[in-house]
Amino acid sequence: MEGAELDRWRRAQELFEAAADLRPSEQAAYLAAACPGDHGLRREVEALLRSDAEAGSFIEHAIRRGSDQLLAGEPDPLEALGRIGKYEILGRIGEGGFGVVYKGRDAVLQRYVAVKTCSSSDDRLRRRFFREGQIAASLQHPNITTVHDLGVERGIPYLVQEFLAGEDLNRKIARREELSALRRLDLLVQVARGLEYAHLQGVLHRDVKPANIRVLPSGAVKIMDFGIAKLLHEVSDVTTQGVTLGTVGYLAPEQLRGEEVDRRTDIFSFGVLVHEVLTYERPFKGSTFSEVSYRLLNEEPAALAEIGPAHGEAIAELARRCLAKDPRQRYETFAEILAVLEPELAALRSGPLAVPSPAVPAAQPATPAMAGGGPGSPSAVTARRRVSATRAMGGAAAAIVLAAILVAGGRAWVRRQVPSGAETAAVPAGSAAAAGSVTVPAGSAAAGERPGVGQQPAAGTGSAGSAGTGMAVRGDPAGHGPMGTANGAAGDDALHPHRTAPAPNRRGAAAALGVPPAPGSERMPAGRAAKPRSEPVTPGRPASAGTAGAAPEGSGEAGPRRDGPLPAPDPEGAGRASRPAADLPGSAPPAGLGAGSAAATGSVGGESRRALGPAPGTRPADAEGSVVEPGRVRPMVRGDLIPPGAPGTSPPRLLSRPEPQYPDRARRRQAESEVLMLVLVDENGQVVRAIVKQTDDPGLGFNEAARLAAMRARFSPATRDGLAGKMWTELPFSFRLHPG
Amino acid sequence: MGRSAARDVTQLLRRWQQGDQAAAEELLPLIYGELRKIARRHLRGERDGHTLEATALVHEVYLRLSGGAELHWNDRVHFYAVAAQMMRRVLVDHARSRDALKRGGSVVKISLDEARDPAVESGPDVVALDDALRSLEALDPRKSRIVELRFFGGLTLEETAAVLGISVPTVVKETRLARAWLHSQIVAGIPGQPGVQGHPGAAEP
Repeated sequence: MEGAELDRWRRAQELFEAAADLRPSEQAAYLAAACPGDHGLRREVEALLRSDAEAGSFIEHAIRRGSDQLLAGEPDPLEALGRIGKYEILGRIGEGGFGVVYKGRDAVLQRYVAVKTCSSSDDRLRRRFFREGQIAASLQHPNITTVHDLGVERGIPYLVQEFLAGEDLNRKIARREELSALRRLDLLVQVARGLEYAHLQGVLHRDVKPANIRVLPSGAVKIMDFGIAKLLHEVSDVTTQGVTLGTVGYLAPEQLRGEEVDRRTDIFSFGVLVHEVLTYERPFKGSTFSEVSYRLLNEEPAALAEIGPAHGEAIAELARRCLAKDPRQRYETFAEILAVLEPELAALRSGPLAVPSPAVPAAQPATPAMAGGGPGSPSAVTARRRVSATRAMGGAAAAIVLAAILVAGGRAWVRRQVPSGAETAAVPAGSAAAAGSVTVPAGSAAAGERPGVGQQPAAGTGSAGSAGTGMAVRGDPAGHGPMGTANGAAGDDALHPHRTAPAPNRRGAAAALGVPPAPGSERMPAGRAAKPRSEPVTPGRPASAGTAGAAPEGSGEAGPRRDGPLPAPDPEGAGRASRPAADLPGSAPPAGLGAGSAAATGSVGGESRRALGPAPGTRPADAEGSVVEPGRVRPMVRGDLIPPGAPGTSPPRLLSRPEPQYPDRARRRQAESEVLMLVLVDENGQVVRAIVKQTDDPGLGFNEAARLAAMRARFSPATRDGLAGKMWTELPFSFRLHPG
Repeated sequence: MGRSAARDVTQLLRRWQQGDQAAAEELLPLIYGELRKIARRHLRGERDGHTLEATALVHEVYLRLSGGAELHWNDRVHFYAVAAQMMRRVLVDHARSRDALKRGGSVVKISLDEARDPAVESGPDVVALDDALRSLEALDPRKSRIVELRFFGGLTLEETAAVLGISVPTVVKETRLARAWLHSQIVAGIPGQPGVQGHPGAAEP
């Protein structure tokens, strides 16, 4: 704006204001007197005064018409067309964030579909629509809405998904629908499986809440709307606009604080879901945003055990841990969560000795979920009683036996849950094989379906690598009775300690809880994980090729947190890395039974991270081992990751640390800094990870200097129950030009 | 690491309050999506049949995004302030793309309220208003913002004053002037002529 113009504008305003409240006749006289000789200015002010009289509510009206047009919507050209792509449009079923959602029909495949369109002409929104469509399409899991197609019709992008009947979970909750404990637990297990799978694919949901969970009439659960989902590792201009805005009350504290989110953010939201599904009450309530936020950040939720009598302390503890304020105190993976939920579900469903019903033959489609068991099954009380009885027996061995039994039960149930062919068949053979290595849909069911010791992998392992393979594998153990299963798969892990007395829980409960065993502590039993390593890749193990490739990375990820240097041939690492080979897509094994969750972790750390590039959005802690849960059956084992504040814990103590190198650039600029590092101290007192927690480094190299120094610090390790373990602790660095 | 990637709405609002326009930009897809959803629900007759003004739309977006919980007054006002921008953009984008479609005689149906004010049916449309607002922004950004906040966002005089850090009487005075100026621009049809100086582009920084 030129000075002269501004002056003129200011002058016009003054004249307008002075004249505005005069009568029209007086206005003319005033202006004539006020701007002698400046006819231009006078005309301008006159125009303003005229408009002032005439304008009325023209602004409101213009906006009103605009919003009416928006509300009236466009007669959608696609709707008028009656078809989108090859899909016949039958009518509208809803409104997505981007546009209309239609019910459509695929005449060729004879099925109904949901077609989402993106009506916006905004380029960024269209790119996001595509991006999210692609992310959603990359997910193929029975508990996640399946994407069939993504295309453009008449310039309008559209996304085709499976058509889902049923009801959203939030409506069930709002109606306070009477659901048995079994049903509720089953819902949660299915959600956890879907999320576990998504995480293993490197995708966060970021908006886990009942409104995004559809419960089909069959009882199957579908997680919907990866609308604000984000690839764990992706940074692009398209998705950085993805504002995480879970509904207040489901946000994790770190989301509220605007910090980075990672898998544990979804785990927090899942904790809210657990609480709400079991009690129909949200754990953090309040009438205002700030009240809810405050509670979320500062208050502990009401203990589940007090609310849901049908649920045992294991579930209460699970919810508590999911809802930990500090992400590091939460579970790291859904595999761990499933390791808790699945046995509980199995117990509810099948009673004390978890006798599996005849398994579904591989190729036979079965209704997902809810196929067996029922509300009539023995209650959780039985399960709890069993747990306490077992505890009374004391000793790790008992716990291990229990784990094996629960595992067997879980598996038995899982087997009845073979997803329908339609759902899994969508996986193209080739991609499934490729995906096989990264796609460990859910730890333990696959563990369950894995053939036992000495048994050859079933036909399924071999076949084309399609989802059908997974199903074949899953179906295979049909022939084994419950004991066969127990002996064969997780039982392999769980029962093994009996044969190797000195380190019972390394392979037993530890394995069952998904804690990576110490290298060299034991060899994997012959029948399983070691095998893929020694065997050439057979057609039967298409996935293991990829997985074997992933092994070094996987173990690399895991490396720093293990006891001492890695032995060159790392049977454990190989075991874990090859684990996914057996867990083909479509198998939905829960939990870290055996090496399961370790494989899962490794797989994310290695395989999918490799596939997706660096992981700016993930915290290093992601890659760390499981946190030992207080109150769990399993005792502390040396090398476990100890959560902060756990009872019986003494934190790492600093013994020495090198003086950090003062960054040259900073010295030249006379800059000083404070950097607070967060370091992971292992059971030998060595720092294995160091990340910046707080810093005022303006980019002058303080952070890096602090990190290097932190890595060379020495500690006496943290202990819990007298055993050394890994633990995160803070380590401040002060950069002062003139110390003292 | 150490990157503070603010990703939730309150965080965005705070960043925006601190002058970070990118934060307001990040709210766009959210608000846009909510606006559309509400509009569609409205269209399907799921609402009670009342017409929805832009400001009511904004309020509904706010309710949905805040999960029905009340934000702090300050946060709420700033939310509305951002939403006002988005509302303007959404409405104008929609109107422009509709014009661009040029689907001949197919008149957009406006059947939400049968007893309509005829004044609404005539007069300048939101695209013309937007053009004039841009001119005003070049000439006097604050007045343009006042119009946006009050009319697109539905902020009260007090709220507008608070957002802009000016007094209520100033808001009143400037609203009046802005309205007259915009009207004179649009009526004149030719920006900058014969109304006041400052046609689009003339004073772009």
